[in-house]
Amino acid sequence: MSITQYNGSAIVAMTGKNCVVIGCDKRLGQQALTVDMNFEKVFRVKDKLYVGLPGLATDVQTLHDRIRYRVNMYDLEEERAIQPDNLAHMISNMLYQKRFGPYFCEPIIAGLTEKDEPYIMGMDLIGCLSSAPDFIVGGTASDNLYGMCEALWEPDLGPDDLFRSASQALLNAVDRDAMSGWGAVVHVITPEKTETYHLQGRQD
Amino acid sequence: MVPTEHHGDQWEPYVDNGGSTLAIAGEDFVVIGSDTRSSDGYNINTRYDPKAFKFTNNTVLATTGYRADCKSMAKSVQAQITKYAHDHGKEMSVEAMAQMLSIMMYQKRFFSYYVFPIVAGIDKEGKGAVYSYDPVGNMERVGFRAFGSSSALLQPFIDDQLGFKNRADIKPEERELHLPDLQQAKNIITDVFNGAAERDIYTGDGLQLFTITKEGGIELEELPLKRD
Amino acid sequence: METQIGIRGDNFVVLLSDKIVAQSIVKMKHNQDKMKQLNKNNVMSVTGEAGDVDSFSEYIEANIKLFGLRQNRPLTTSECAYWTRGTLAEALRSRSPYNVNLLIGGFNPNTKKSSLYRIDYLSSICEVPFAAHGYTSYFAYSLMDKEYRKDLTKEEAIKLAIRCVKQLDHRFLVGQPGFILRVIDEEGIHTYDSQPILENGQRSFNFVNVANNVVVSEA
Repeated sequence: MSITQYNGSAIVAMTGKNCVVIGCDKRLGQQALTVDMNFEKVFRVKDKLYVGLPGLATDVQTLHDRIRYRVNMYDLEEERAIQPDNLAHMISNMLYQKRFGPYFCEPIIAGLTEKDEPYIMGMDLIGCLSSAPDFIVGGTASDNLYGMCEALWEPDLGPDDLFRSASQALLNAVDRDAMSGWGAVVHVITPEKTETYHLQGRQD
Repeated sequence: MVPTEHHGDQWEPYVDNGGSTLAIAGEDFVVIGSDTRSSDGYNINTRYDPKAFKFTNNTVLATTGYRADCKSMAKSVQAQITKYAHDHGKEMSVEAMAQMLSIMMYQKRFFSYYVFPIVAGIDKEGKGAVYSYDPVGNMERVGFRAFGSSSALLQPFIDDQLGFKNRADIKPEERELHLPDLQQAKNIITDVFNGAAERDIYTGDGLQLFTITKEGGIELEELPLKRD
Repeated sequence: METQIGIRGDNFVVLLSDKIVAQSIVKMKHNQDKMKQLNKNNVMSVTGEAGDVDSFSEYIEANIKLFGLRQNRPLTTSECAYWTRGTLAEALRSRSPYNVNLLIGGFNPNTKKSSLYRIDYLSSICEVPFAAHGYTSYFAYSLMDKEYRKDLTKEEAIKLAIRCVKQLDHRFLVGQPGFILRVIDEEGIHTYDSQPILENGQRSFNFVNVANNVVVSEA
């Protein structure tokens, strides 16, 4: 089993009409043993900018710490809010700096741009960016999420419908994956506000 | 990575030729979809190699896994079904065929067929029946099942749409009241196969849709899928 | 092969660990205290590779004491835990990573709340109601899953830890003769040592408070 599958994770980001959602499961395991059922993998960067970090838990935490540090430094030095694409390239650069001893984590960025346009971006563990107009998935349940999202996603969904699609995609995907699940968190990002929903899921 | 026959110096008896199957049992019908691609690693052997076949006027067997084993097994099953018809003067029922397949597979317990079969048909009560198996013949009658290279993409979606899992609007216990009609079942299969063909390189080219009803017998539709 | 258990209540934490130092199949020491008192109300329990355990835990212990002296206040449990994680994470990607598993438990006198952190050798950290490391986790987690409650009293938590030990003694291949149990609460740190095997050869699961010789048992 790959080291990226050691702790288990599932993350999905979806675009809608002037909104994006990003969600994750809450399990932390050591292979088949569940250690924590309240381990979130999506983190707030700004009010309308979130980053999801699926992969090895230690690198998830190290990366989160480093991203927070770099974003704070950006705020101080640039005196303006970091934009989603800036963040994507910043993280990509951070990952590529560790090209030959990488963080085992494949970040997913979701947010709204200055013009409140939806933005999602994925990358591999050495920072190769990959954009998509519809959705980006990651983690041990990524195959399951691909199937769900291909079927449920449609263009121009409003925040409520998008939240419903992402939640269904996440919950049903993790239920067929032994390494992720134990509840989920979904952040719905709209120009006015970002709302966070904790979803109850199967506890097995 | 799909295994190939030659792994280093070691010869391997099995190859995964990819492809996917998906069966849905309704109140008085069964629909079974399967793609027609057959591949070996990054090569496509053929774009038209059907995985599902009619066995009696009432049953279809669809199998993913190793094509040679699929075909060899199907041939043995067909022989037994023909023999049964001659011996008993009637067609074999789905229940009987399902049980027979389980036994035939377990008889090869220590050099199993590398196959993931689904048997679909109308049972003695006139209800839709889907039986799924593991490669050594462990059998289960289910309401719906996806197998093959896209099973991880297909199964969670039908859990949602047909098993009503994680749904606030319909409880799984009330599933019987919300079973899909024939057209809904067909739509689900075509939709989700298009999604699978989008993401899974081993699934694509063509979709075969078998519909089995008590009155209409077996009907086959062929639809295109992505060919890239 | 080493045992480490932690249980967090509302205003206390119970930590328990075995006392064996082993090399290969040989028990080298039977009375090793595997916990470090980081400050007045925080304890760290450490297991892992022999040399790493000592060098890492001493480094952490000394630095947390130094922090306390410099800032003229004791570090909180979360500060201790996250600083420890950071140190371990940095070492993980260096030429000399530490192979240690940690539990850090403590009481915060300001908020009157307790917390328990679980850090594994890869330095993933999580704040949990109960925790275990190594083979012990396969025996203790099921019991703690079943019996843990948010409103567990100190006595109940100690008894739960003893039940885990009893279960280990019953089912785990590797027998562990002695344990140290610590309770961290508002008053400070209370140390309990497991009673030796009784004269009639019966295994004892009683623990004795080192300070006042009060015996606690599962019953």
